[in-house]
Amino acid sequence: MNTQDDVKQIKSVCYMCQGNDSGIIGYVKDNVLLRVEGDPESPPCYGKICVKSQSSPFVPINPNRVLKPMIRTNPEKGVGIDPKWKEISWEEAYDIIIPKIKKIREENPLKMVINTFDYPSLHFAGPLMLGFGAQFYFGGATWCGWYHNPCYQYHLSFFREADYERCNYLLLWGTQSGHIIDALPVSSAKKLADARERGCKVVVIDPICTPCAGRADEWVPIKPGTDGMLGLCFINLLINDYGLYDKEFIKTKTNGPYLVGADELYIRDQETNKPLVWDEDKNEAVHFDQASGNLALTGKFTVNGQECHPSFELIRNHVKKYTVEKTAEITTIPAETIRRIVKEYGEAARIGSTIVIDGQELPYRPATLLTGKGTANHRRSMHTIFAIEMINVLIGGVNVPGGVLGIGTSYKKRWSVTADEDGINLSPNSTYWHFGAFDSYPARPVNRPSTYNLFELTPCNSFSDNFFPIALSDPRKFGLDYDIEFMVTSHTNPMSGYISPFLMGELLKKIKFILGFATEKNEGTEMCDLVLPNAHWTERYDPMANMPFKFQTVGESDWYWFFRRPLIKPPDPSIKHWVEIMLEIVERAGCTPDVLNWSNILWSLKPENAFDPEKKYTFMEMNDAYIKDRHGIGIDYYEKSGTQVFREKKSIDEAYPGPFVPGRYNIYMEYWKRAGEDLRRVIKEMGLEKEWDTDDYKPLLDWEPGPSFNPVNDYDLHVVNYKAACHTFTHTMVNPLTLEIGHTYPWLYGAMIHPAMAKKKGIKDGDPIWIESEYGYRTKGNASLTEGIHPDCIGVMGLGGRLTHGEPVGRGVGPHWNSLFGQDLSKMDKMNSSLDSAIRVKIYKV
Amino acid sequence: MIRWGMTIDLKRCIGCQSCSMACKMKNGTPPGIFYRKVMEKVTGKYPTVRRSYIPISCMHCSDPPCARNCPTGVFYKREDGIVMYDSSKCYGAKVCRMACPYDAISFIDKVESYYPGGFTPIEKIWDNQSREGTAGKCDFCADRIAEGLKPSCVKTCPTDALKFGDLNDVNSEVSRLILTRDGYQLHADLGTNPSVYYLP
Repeated sequence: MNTQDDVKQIKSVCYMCQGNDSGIIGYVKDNVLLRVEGDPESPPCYGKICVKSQSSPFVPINPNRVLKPMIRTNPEKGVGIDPKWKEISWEEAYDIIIPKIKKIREENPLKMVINTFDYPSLHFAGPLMLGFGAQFYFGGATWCGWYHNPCYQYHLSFFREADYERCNYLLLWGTQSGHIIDALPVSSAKKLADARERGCKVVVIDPICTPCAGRADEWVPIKPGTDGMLGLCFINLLINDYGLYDKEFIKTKTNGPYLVGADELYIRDQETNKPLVWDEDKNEAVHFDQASGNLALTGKFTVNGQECHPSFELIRNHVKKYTVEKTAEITTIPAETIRRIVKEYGEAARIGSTIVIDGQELPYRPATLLTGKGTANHRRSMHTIFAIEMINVLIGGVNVPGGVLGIGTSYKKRWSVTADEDGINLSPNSTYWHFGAFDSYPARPVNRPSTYNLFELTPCNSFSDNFFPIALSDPRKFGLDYDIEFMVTSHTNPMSGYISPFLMGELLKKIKFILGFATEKNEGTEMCDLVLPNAHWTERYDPMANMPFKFQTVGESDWYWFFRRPLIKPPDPSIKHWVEIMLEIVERAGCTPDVLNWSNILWSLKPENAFDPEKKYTFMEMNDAYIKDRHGIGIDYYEKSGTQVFREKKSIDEAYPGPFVPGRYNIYMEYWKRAGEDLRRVIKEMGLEKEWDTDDYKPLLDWEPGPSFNPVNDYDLHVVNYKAACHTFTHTMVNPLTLEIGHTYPWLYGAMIHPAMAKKKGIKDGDPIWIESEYGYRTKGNASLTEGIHPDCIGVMGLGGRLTHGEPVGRGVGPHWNSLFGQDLSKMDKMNSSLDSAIRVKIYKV
Repeated sequence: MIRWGMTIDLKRCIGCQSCSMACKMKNGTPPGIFYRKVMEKVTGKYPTVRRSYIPISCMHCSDPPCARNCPTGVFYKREDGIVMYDSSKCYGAKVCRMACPYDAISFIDKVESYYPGGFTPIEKIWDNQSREGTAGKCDFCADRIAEGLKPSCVKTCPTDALKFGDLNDVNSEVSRLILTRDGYQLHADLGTNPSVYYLP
């Protein structure tokens, strides 16, 4: 620690990735951030920070910072085309922006879209969006969003985490959780290391032997796009071969006992409409909420004159076709390996066991399956991701000690889980989530789309932003009778992070005016018409840094609410937090009353904390009111003490909400079936039957080969991506320190290929190669031969290959994953807009 | 008398390089210079493949070859076991680099800036140009130890793979770990007696 008098120590919170996981101390001299260290007093990391966090002082001093408003003078737009920026004054910038917004507000406010991935500002996204009347495009959701759908239902939260402290068997499936990656990147690393030291077995299913897989007890390579098959086989073996499932849990906490007729819908009481179950003690059908504990899970019954079965019986029989032999052939995982892992997992769950914590006896299921984006990006994404997540439900391992826990599921002071009339749990998401992501249950009524993400056509889904570029390419096809004319983009890079920048560039050209907030000039900035400088996180306040829907460690930790404060001043005094500038734009455009009204509604402010729509509030005043309303403390709490964290004791039922939730979990997706019928009506009205398949809206989960399961012409290989601890978000690819560290991994910026495949292709280690996808796009990289990859795959880091001219550092380092992807509805899951990542590529020497 | 030493738990290390970056920011080393590196080793054949990570820095040998071989006396051993160096005595002979069996000594040649176009304010404070032509290495963060703190790498390691303490105290955490986990020194056969132990 530097004890020089002129070095100030300031407490704040890291924001080098979405995790907002680490309390830090910044050491500052003459407005230069010398370094950051972890704050030993701050949960959840207690002094530990990651490689990215350590490198953060080099980001705000990037000489390529945007310092003044800039307007493009070159009307031609595209990848690598110099916008020929001209600096203008702030007043000139407002004079350009405000008339455009006013005109759009008069014509049709939906012509404006707000595009951001700035997590600590998302509580403002809703009020800004609805205050303007604009629509929202959740930037960065191309590959990440889809496992949130089962998360909402099974963990009753947007995110989930393993109960590392009590887990004895950890199956990481398409995620590197616990390896400075995923929702709580740093705090989970120590927890997993501790778990392993006490004997927790770690098995990783992944096409690539990532650092996580390479350190695990076992790496199980899988052919891309076949995870759903393995998930259903897993369920089949647990239920039908090994009997390793929690019958009591399924009876009392799932819709497994609900009786289902030949029409695949619940049998309901004709008077009350309540779903019925078969009570074996009473030997009759009764309301699900009036039964004894002894409900039938199997058998055939006649109720209301209809033949029916418990839904669990249908599931049990349905999954029998996912045999281990067939699954081995499809996934390329040996049958004996599949059997062994399923058995290990099921036995490790200790079904039926309990544990006493703080005097309370709770179910104990010390086996955890964590999955993430690796499994979710497929043509049948929803079926795949629900099949995998449902495995945790079958062992009763959701929201209980040892299992998978939702992040912030129940904060009793403000929200908790409820149940609907069908007895199904309702996530409290809607009470703390403030922008366009919704619960995946219950289904919403289907209507013709009003916005470009076509959200109305995905009634069982959280958000559908991959449809935005689809609609942008042909809005009239989807009944959108207006064009997007104005886009605000901040903390996201639609040119690098979504699909091929060449395709995305053509689509973005259709938007008349793009206003970007930028710290540095990246590929997205280069498509903007006007750029406003944005404060770096080390220069700004984020009074609600770890929004409560995520970034809280699970289990018996305290609640901790983070406050980010500036460590340094911005390089120009006019540079502010982009939301502060947006509030100024709101005021000048005459939208303040609307934004304040929506803040009152979306933030559920109590009357004493609500805003007067006739007044004007600063960014800090608005945050202060929100914090007071939510936690009973204000910004003063942080500012007077100098701390960055407010802690509250978590009760046992908040730590482990599973036994206390009032409802049941869906394992039979009856509501998909009903929603599908509603959707088909609208799709027919719209004349979209050919493009918009609705077959997946059925109650039993299935897997079918994706469109690129077999080679497509001479595109014979799969391509898969991976993450590394030193890179999260594209900004880490223009940070010379993280890049320098990245180069110490010999494979990180290469194109991973198995030696046998390389030999077959005549490629040697280090050879420059083109990777060309079936979409016709290609990217370049140097072959990196490794035994640690499925032989049918090429491995590419998710963030490499920057294309921007505005940032010379990082340009062209490694292949660019997103450059391989076009957009094609036939390769998308219409239930959630997931784009199939299991495409085919071919490789050849440069 | 204290003899400072470090243990590196290879079971806990996940190769995340947080220690390397902490070291860089603490010591302000220029591009290409790491006083602490994490080496990766991939072993096995598909599908049985393992990745191992081995952090490397100055081993603070009891009999340091760098000190023995340096013609100008740059390196010296303190009583507490830390091998220190005095850059002002370094004339760039680079004998230390050849002598060190652990490749733990860096030589700062021409100092480049991290971003094209010139040195950033941090780099100006680091003032690495004044160190051009001299050797540098890990000193166990001697200034931090003097303040009762742990080395930067140890403090930040997310998985707590690194421990620091007194090797001469049989009850210290590092001594106990070396004993109970069969801690070993790299190239023990060379007789340099490093103060860094690896826990398999």
